[in-house]
Amino acid sequence: MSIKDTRYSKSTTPRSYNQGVFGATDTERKTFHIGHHDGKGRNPQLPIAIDRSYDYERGERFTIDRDRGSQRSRGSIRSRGSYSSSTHGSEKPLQEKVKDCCRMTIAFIFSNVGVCAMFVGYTIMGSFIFQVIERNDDAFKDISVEAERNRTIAYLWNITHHFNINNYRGWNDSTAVGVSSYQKYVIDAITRGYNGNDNATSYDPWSFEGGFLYSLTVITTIGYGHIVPKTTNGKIMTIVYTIFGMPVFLLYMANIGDILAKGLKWTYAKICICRHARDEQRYQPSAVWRSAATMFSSPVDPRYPAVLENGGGEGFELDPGQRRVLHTPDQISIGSESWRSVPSEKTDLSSVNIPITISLVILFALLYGGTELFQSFEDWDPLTSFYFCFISLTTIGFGDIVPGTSVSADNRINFIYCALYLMFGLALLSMCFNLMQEEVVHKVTTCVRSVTFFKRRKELN
Amino acid sequence: MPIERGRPSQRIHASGVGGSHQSSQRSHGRSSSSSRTSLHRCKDCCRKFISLMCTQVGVGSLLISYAIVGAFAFVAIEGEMGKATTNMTVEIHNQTLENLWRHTLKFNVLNRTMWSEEIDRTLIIFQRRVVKSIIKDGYEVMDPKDIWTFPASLMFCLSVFTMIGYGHMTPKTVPGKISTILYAVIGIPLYIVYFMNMGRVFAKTFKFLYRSIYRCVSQEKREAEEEARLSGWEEPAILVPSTACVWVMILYVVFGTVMFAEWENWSYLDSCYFSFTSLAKIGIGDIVPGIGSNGHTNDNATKLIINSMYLLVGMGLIAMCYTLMKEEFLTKINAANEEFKEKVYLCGLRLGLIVEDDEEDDEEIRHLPSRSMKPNRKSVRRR
Repeated sequence: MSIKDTRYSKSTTPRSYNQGVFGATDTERKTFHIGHHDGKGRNPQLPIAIDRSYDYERGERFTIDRDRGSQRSRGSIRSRGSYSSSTHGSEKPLQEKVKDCCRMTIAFIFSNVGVCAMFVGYTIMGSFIFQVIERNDDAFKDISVEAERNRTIAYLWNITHHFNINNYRGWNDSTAVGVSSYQKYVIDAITRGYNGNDNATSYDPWSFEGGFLYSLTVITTIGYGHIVPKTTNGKIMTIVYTIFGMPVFLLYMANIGDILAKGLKWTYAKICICRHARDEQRYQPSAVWRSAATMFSSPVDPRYPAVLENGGGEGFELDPGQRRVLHTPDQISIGSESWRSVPSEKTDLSSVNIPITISLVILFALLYGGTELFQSFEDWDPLTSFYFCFISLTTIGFGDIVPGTSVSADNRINFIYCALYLMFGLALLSMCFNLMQEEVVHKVTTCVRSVTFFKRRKELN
Repeated sequence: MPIERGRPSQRIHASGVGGSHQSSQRSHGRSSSSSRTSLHRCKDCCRKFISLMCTQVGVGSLLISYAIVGAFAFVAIEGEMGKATTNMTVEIHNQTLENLWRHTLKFNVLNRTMWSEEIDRTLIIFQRRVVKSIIKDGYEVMDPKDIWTFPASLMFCLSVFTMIGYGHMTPKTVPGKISTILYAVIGIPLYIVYFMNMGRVFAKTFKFLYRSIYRCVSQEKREAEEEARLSGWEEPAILVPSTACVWVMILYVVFGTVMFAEWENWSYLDSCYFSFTSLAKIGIGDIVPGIGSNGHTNDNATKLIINSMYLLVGMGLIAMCYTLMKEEFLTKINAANEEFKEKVYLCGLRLGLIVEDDEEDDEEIRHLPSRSMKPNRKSVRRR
């Protein structure tokens, strides 16, 4: 990879520095880039920092300008291109227009709103599809608990007529048989979707709400199984629907998780601004270390040995010194007013680390909120409600307890509440796990870095 | 080695782990000195145990033993404590009979309409109570002891920590529900570790197989490769295409389809539907092997156990596909990225936006870190 390329790699993928997938010169440059980025966050007016890192900082400013220059030039390329296309827009052929339209549609689909809309739209579509397919199924038409009851009453009357009230034993035995068969019928009806309402002929599990919850549970891999497809077409459709639905769901989860994570990080940075600022100072030198660590520990890169020989070792040795310099203003500035008057306007969100405890608190809040919510909608006890939330959010989804299927009332709207809770809850869950993973990885790298640092120092001494 | 022959367990351990040969040598050296205290031995054992636990074999056996322990625990919890609900339903049944008798005594055979109304009311109450006990309290038609047999319980545990959640049998009691939650909290991370581990192992194996097949098939390429290797070139990495992964998954689903269809006398569609929903972790649970149509557990426990093995291996295969596809995707993205960069650069050159002196700038940039940091290093040394 030539050196010129690295410039573009840096500016096109500014956040790729800890992936370690780019070339050797790239890595090297990244180290440097982050290094002077650290300097940027510090107050340059502090006297002690200046005399030690004067040279360093001048160089840094120089490169920043360079960087901006290159960005500007690149921007102008793009803008010029778009300008030319827009001036000739009037006589643009239809094909171009269609292409443009397609491009815009695709861009929109992959934006956050588009992904959400796609997810919800896909679920609603699934709901209608399953409704159409499964409505034709006449498995529920022959469920009439009322008719069976009347039959049982007639049977009992026959028994009573036969035995009269003189033969209690014979009457009792026969009645027990009748009641048992009736009970069996009711149980069978329940397993087929009967929910206790007497007008069972009009009962339809594949209502819009039911279908919505079914499609959602299928593509989120929860799979309650409170209603199941009975027809051949329904089963085939479930398989096809899942194959296309799961990527959509994963996309949605990643996207919403990302937005939520950013929002949370921003809030966290704003609320704990002072702490954050200090954290930033503590963490940013570590970014240098991280890049150094990736440089040394990425055997994936075939050009790795070259880095080690050329500039890598040098860069590594330099790091402790840099760290020292960066820490100097930190220690001084904590109490100083001038430092606080310069708030970090653009907080770099990627450097904010949410502690694990906060993620755990959010998880428990999610579970607790769900527990309270379903307790108020359904007449469940707290344990059942918590059990339901837990089983749902872990995507186990037994389906023994599902809101909206209770005996007493016809509250199928609860399916929708359940679906909304799942949509939001799963995204939040994925966010929390991502944040926790990030934090753990960060902790581990810090640990490894400090160990290597001390080892290195020993060697130096 | 002669000493080691007398310690077969150690040798097995060393061969099984592969990487820990050194440690076993160390311990063997220490054992020959015969001045080893029991504390040392204990420490050694612990170390070995931990290193074994970190291997694939360790994780797999840990997961299986976790499933077995869980199966026993749920048999104990649900089998014993689930009796209460059954008794309650029997009670409802008896109460209804009593009520019926009372009404019959009251009206006798003289007033049919009145009698019918009363009986109807009684039956409606009975029906409501039955529905409530089934839906809300989770009454089962069968004795919980018959439902919570060991293989069925094993299947339940598996469905909990793999997050499939068939729901064909669920805990009904309060301790059962609590222990299910706790079981999942510990089991799911364990399962994820297993999942990742198996994915890596399967990916390696599959890559190896694919590579050898690839070489066999394309003999010419192989010769070219030989030449390249002789002339000092590195062997080009053969990527497993994602279509191969998809084929493996399809074959696995087909295998499951045929297997379950033969065993359970299901239609092929049902069988395919079951395999697919299980492997996709949906677990709708309307059809589960080993459980008859009306909830009766069949005697053949082997089916359930083989089904569990099918699921565990299938999950490993999914992890493998995931790993391989990610690898391929990353490589392709990288290639596309470089191509794009090249294009942008060429475009910039052509438009005259990038001047040739760029190289000098970059040279400067390259030298900057060393220049700027050298004084710092000195400062460290001074301190």
